[in-house]
Order: sequence, then C-alpha cells, then structure tokens
Amino acid sequence: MKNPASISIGLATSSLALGYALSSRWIWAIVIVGLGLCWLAGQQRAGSWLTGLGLIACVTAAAFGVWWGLSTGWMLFSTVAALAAWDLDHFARRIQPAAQMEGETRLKRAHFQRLSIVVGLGLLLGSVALSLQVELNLAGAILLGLLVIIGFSRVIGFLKDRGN
Amino acid sequence: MTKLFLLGFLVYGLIFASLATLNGGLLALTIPLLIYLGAGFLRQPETLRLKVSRSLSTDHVFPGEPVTVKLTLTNEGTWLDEVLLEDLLPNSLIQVDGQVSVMTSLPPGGTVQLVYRVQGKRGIYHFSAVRVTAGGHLSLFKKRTRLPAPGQFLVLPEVVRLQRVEIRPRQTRVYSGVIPARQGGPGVEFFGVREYQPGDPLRWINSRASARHAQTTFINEFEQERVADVGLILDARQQSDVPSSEGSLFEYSIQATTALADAFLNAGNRVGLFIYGRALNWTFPGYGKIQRERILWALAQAKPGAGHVFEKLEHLPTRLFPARSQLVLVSPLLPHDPDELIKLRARGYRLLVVSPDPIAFEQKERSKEREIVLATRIARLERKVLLGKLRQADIRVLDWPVETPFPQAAHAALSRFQRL
Repeated sequence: MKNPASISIGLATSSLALGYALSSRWIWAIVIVGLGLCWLAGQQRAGSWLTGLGLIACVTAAAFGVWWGLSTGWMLFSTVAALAAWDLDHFARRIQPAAQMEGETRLKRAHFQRLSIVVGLGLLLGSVALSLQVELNLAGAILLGLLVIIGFSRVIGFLKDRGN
Repeated sequence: MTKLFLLGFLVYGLIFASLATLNGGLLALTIPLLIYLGAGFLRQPETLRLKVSRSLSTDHVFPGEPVTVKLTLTNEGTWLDEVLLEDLLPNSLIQVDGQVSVMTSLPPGGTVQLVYRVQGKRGIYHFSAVRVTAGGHLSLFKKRTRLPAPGQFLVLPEVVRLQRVEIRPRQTRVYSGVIPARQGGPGVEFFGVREYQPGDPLRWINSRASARHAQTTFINEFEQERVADVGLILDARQQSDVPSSEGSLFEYSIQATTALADAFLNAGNRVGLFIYGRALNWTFPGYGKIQRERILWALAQAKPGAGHVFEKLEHLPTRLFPARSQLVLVSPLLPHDPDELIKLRARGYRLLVVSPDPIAFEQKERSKEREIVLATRIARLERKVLLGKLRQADIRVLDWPVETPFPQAAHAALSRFQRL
C-alpha cells in the first residue's frame, strides 16, 4: 500500500514542480521537489500528521500557482494526486494495526475502486470547471460568501454533535 | 474526524481565497476535495448491528498449557466497508499464536472469526469485550463500539508431588487412613498389650507376656491409623508478601499450599482451605479429587490483599476448624504472629507452619553493601528468635528457603514426625 501512495506523492509533487518550472519559477520548483522528497522519506517513519501536512502543502502550492497564473491543469492534477496520496497513506495506516486481513485483496481492490471513482470524477469535474467562465458580480459574490458562512457554521455544528 | 477537519479546512481555505482574490481557478481546486467529502458523507456507516460470541477451549488449565479462544462476529445490519475487530486481552496473558485483530469487509449476514491461543501464569482471566471499528466509504466517518463478549478461564497453580507429610493431630476421624490415631486396634505399629478378649485374632497373642501370667492371656495392640481433618491456612496478607522483579513470595506460598493440599488429600484426609487476606475465603472441608479441584480453583484465584481487620491473625475464625484437628499455616510470618499461633496451640490444635523465607527471597534483589548485609543479619536473628518461639510452643516449623525445591525441603522436614 505504501507504493501507490509513494507514486501518488511523486505525481503530486512532480506535476506541481512541472507547472512552476514551465513558468520559469525554478526556485519554487526545486523547493517543491525537495518537499516531495521529504514527504516520501518521512512517509515510512512519521505519523499521519506528515501526510496531512503534505496535502496542505500541495494544495497551498497549487492555490498559489493558480493565483500566479500558472497552468491550472497541472495544479488541479497535483491537488488530485496529493488527495489520493493522503487517502492511500491513511488506508495503509488503518490496515496496519490489524494483525490479520480477511479478504485482503477484495478489501484493497474495493478501496482502490472507490478512490479511483472519486479521483477521476474530481479531475473530470475540476477540468470542466476550469473551462467554464462564470461572471460573478458583487451580489453573487456576497451570496456565495453567505452560503460559505452558513455552510461553515453547519459543519461546526455537525462536528460538535459528533464530538458529543 | 481529523480527516474531515483537514478536508473542511482546505475547502474553506480555498473558497475564502477565491472570494478574496476573485479567482475562479481556486474554486476549481476545491472540486476534487468536495467530491471526496461528498462520497464520505453519502456512505457513512449506519448504526452498527453486530453480534459477537466467544468460546474458550477449556475453563481451566495448568501453567504452560494454552487455551484456544474463538471469536465470531456476525453483521446483522447493512454492508460494512471496513471493519476492524480487536479483542481486548486481559493483562499478563501471553498470546501464543493466532491473531487478536482482523480487518475485513462484512456483507449483511457475513461473519468473521478470530482464533488464537493464549497462556498465562496462575490466576483468573476475564475477557470482557471486543472493540469494533467500522469505517464507511473512504473511512471518512467511523463508528467505534465495544461489544460485550464475556469469557473467563483459570490457570490453576502447578501441583508438585510430595512423598509424604507426617502429621499427628490429637483427634482423627472414624475412617481408616494413614495417620496414627493414638488408639489401640488393628494397625501396623505396636501400641501396647492388653488382656485377651473373645473375638480377638489369635495371631495377636503375645506369648511372652502370657507366659508370665498363668491365668491370663495377653494380646498385642496396634495403633489404629485413621484419616484426619486438616485445615490449610494460606496467609494472603499484603504485608507478609514480598514482591520482587521475578515474582512475589506469595507464589511460593501458593506452591506450598497446593503441594500440601494434594498430599493430604491423597492420603485420604478431609482438607479445608482458608485464605486469610483482604477478605476471608473459605473452602469447606472435603475429601478426594473433587475437593482437590475446589482447592485448586480457590488457590488459582488467590491474591494478596490488605485488610485492616485481618492485619493480625487474631481474627482467624477457629470455629471453622474441628477441635484438636491439624492446622497447617503457610506464611512468611510477621513479628506478631507467634502469639496468635501459640494461642491456637493452647486450644488443642496441632500446628504445622510452613514458612517461605522472606529474608533469603529479598536478599537476592539487594546489593552487597555493608549496611544491607548488617540489616540482613539482624533480620535473620529476628526470624530465628521468632521461629524458636514457635518451636518452643510445640509447633512444627518448616523454614523454607525458596531456592530449594519445596518437595526437597518438605521431604527433609515433614516426612517423619519429630516431636520437638
């Protein structure tokens, strides 16, 4: 299970670095490659916090890349690959405490299938969204902002309920 | 929950960033994350309806023998994508083989089984529950529950065989046995001479004594051999125990009590066990193999405990023991114990004290510093005085240095009755 996660980490960081390198932001590309190597190296030893940090770093770098006008395709691909790496790493850690796996192949195959669907759909819809142009006026932005705030408060309430 | 929090944080971060910068590309980055979250929300695990059953290969074993534990988990609810079943092993139980946790997916009506073997030291082991963690789609949401799966087994103390323990209680029971009953009659050992009475076997006639008296015939009498009541008292007071890194002195007391109970029961005696510690634990006297089993079960569960009332032996309920019977106390002995034991002796009980030596046991753990050596010498002298007091009161004492195997120590001191 570590291998698919490592491949995903490699894909996430290399696509990100490529996106930065294509815009001649070499220093950032080298920094991203370095971060990817650190993520790969620490994957075996560190806890799940590292993979979470890796996902945050990749998404943040992708967001900066989009903001700086780099190729959004690479940024989106990088986000999706980082998400897959993060999920696969968590899956590997979940099955680790189990001394015995019953139907191991079936369990892994089912998880890969679910992840593939989610990742494929995310990539597809993300690409569609990138090709769409929607004009957002001030009212629309405010409406969207309100929706975000309401959604945010709902999520906090939900988390509190689950915590209780 | 951490996964959910992290994804939520990223999604909201990206949305706020896109609103702040009015950049639609940032919103597009949230889509894969939102789809992941949505997939997790849609397929979160429902209420767990699981049934678990546990079976053990036996309810009691001797040390070193493994017990096979079988756990079966049945899903009586909806499909569970990922289920982690973990058995919660009692402390100090060693897993010999098999696995105590399993991960699988469970369809409705599906079952999963865990089989493993464990072994442990003397004691009672209670299994209480199993932990089940069920994750939904992508395990974004998890449900964790503890399902009761009770079970217990005993590891009985090891029984070391003693060749013979000679006792002479002042009163015996009516059934024939191996204990001299201080009464003339059929037996092996010469007891005395009495006048012949009709019905006496002719081969018992003492011709020498009869020859000296013209009109009277004398016959030999033998000492009858009967069974006796034996009350075993195990000292389980916390303050008399000596814990160490290799175990506690109490385990040696258990070993001695087990061996003595086995020896007395094998000789046909009626044996009762009294465990004097945090509370009073009384195994009613009885004979034979069933009683042996009862005593072993009681000893398997015995552990030292502190009780303010039972700090001294003065609360020993002597009424439980038949008058003038044989009492056997297994105890490392505390300084104030001899007074109570002498009182028991004065009431007519025959007393045998088997005392695992706490000083020699503790000495192994201590350094060879001058102060320690001096302290050990003082403790030895005190113990010598204490044991001497008991011997003076006609109480038999076996001072057992625990590095010597108990059968060896018991054979040397208890195989012949020596009046002290």
